[in-house]
Amino acid sequence: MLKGIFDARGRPWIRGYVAFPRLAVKGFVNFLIDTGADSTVIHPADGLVIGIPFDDLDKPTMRSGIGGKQAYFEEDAVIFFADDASSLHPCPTVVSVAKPDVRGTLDNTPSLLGRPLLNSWRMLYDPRKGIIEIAYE
Amino acid sequence: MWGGGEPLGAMAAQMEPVDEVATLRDLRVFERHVDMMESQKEELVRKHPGKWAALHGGGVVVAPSLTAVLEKIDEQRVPRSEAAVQFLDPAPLDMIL
Repeated sequence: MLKGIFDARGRPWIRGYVAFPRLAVKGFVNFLIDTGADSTVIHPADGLVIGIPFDDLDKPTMRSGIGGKQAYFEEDAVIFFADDASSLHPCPTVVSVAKPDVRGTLDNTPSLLGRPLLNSWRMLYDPRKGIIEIAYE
Repeated sequence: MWGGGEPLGAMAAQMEPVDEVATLRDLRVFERHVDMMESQKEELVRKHPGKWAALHGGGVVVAPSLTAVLEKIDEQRVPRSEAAVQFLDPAPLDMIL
């Protein structure tokens, strides 16, 4: 079982270890659990922290958010989550990566764990008790 | 070691092996730093509104921009990805994602 956490504002998060095999980049990311997101997304702050070589991204795609259309780049990834048995659960997926821009448009936007992964899980979401528990098969 | 086989398929061939024990340990460290950042955030925002902060095992660093805070982490030879990095927003807006 995987566990998430609620922050002080009641937002649900889960921490993972992301590996991009083609880019040879790995690092830890705090993902906002977002059942409304059609993709799992790494936004610029996390991309910079884990050292994504943005110039090497080569599969552009447009995504629509509340702020309008935005260019992202698709990249194969494996996201590892720690389960309560102290082992790593690997989740192969495609991640959409946003490049930083000069205006810092998305710098303060969290990375999102979207439905491509969430749809393969069963999640107990109980903010009143502070519980996010995720079962996977 | 966790390095390949199912369910990674073709990606396993491209991927360097992941040391499961070390990664789990480092993930717990990262989680602790994120939790500590969350608990200290109100005070950090009060002291350094509008700046970026990174919390790691050696303490907190604050700088005017994200790149500047990452440079400070690099100067201290701290692995970037173990640090919890956040913008200290004095007037955070509700997010609608």
